[in-house]
Amino acid sequence: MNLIEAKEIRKQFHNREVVKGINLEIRQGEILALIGTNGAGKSTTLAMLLGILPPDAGTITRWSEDYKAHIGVQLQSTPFFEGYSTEENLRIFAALYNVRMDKEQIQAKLEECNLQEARKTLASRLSGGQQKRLAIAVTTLHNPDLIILDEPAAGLDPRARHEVRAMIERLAENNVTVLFSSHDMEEVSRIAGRIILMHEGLIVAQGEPEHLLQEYHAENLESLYLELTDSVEAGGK
Amino acid sequence: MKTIFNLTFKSASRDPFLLLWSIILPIGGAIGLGFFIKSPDYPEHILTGMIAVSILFYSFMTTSFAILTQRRRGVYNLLRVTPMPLWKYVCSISGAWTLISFVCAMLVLLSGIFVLKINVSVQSFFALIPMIIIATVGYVFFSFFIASLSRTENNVSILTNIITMPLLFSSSAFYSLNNAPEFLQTINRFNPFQWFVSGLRNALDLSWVSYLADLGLVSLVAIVTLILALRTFRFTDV
Repeated sequence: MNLIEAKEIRKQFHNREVVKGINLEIRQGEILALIGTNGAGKSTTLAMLLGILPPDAGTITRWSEDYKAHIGVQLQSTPFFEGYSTEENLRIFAALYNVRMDKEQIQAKLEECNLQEARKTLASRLSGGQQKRLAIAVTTLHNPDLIILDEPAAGLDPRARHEVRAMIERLAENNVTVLFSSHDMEEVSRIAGRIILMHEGLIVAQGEPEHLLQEYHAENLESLYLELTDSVEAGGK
Repeated sequence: MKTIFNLTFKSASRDPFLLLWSIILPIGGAIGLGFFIKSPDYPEHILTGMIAVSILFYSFMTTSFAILTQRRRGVYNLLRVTPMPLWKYVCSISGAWTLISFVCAMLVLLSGIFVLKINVSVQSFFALIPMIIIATVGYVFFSFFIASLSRTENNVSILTNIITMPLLFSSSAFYSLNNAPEFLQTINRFNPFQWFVSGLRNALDLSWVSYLADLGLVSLVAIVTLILALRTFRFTDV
């Protein structure tokens, strides 16, 4: 079953087309990675899938009318509420999803993201890695069917990246569908079951990583990405 | 809504700007000037002026910064992907801010009652409540409008000061304008902040006709600022 299906979606800003008629679907239970360099159109694509931005053309079909109640989202900017502690941020995000959390549930969630010690710390004063872990924990407060993470490990040190990766893997173990965007090929190759490669607003390839590597005779995802994007640019010229 | 209201109230009440600009400064100003200026009517005059200043500083200036910060951090954008409707969220935070402003106003009022020995009747007290609440709501709506016009904290700072200072100094909040030049008195008649200050004074004096006229004007300001806030609201800077 597809949770979301996008057909021929397009988006332009200031007369520049950033998403150029792409087709994709998110299948229930998979970990799907949307890969591309900065400016490839990943965040715009995610924003359209989430309903934040309307596509200029094309259609997006979602599995449920009240899909917002069943999606957990971590946007690139990790928008925590200024002036609120870690615990208060969990409570306020739970309220946004109409979830009431008692003290034990809050404690469990803090332990899950290893932030028990930072319970009373203002979220804005957490380290980059702690903020990302909190952001991912926030996406699971309402037991969503689908979690969408926009560059969850961007700008983190190796240890923090490892912790974030472990959190995503735990989500997958619980049969939650995860879509995440990234330009870190190592991260993608470790956790994604299927990948979509984007370049300059187009999807240049999609499929399971092993199949794509075999199909294009590439050693790893990075060389595959470089090969495919070079061929697109050469075609463009 | 209750959780958001409670958490907003709790978080906002920790704001050091609130303590300084909406509690310490107005109470200190009311008590200091109330004792310093030897005129029998002045303590009541400055008390109402300082209540209005306390409300203006919090519900307009402080909240403008808070709204801009929330938008810049992507909070409003995120709301679009949660089941919480924006209006519910805005009502919750605006309600919490209104309550904080009301509490500040009550603290300034209490300082006047206990320190300046101003007599406030029960009728006056109940007349003050709608005046304070409606004016506060109007200023909160106006702060949404100002935050929508601004992209940075500097923009908010400049805009709020450009608006607040003329409103304050062309009103009779601190001093009487009876002997002011004609042009200043004309400006004063059309100053929305003056309508609020007059409303507070008329509530204390139980001048019902003037009070109701001021309440009507303050309500009109709240409606206009609501329309401005709705028309200009921005989820994101992108």
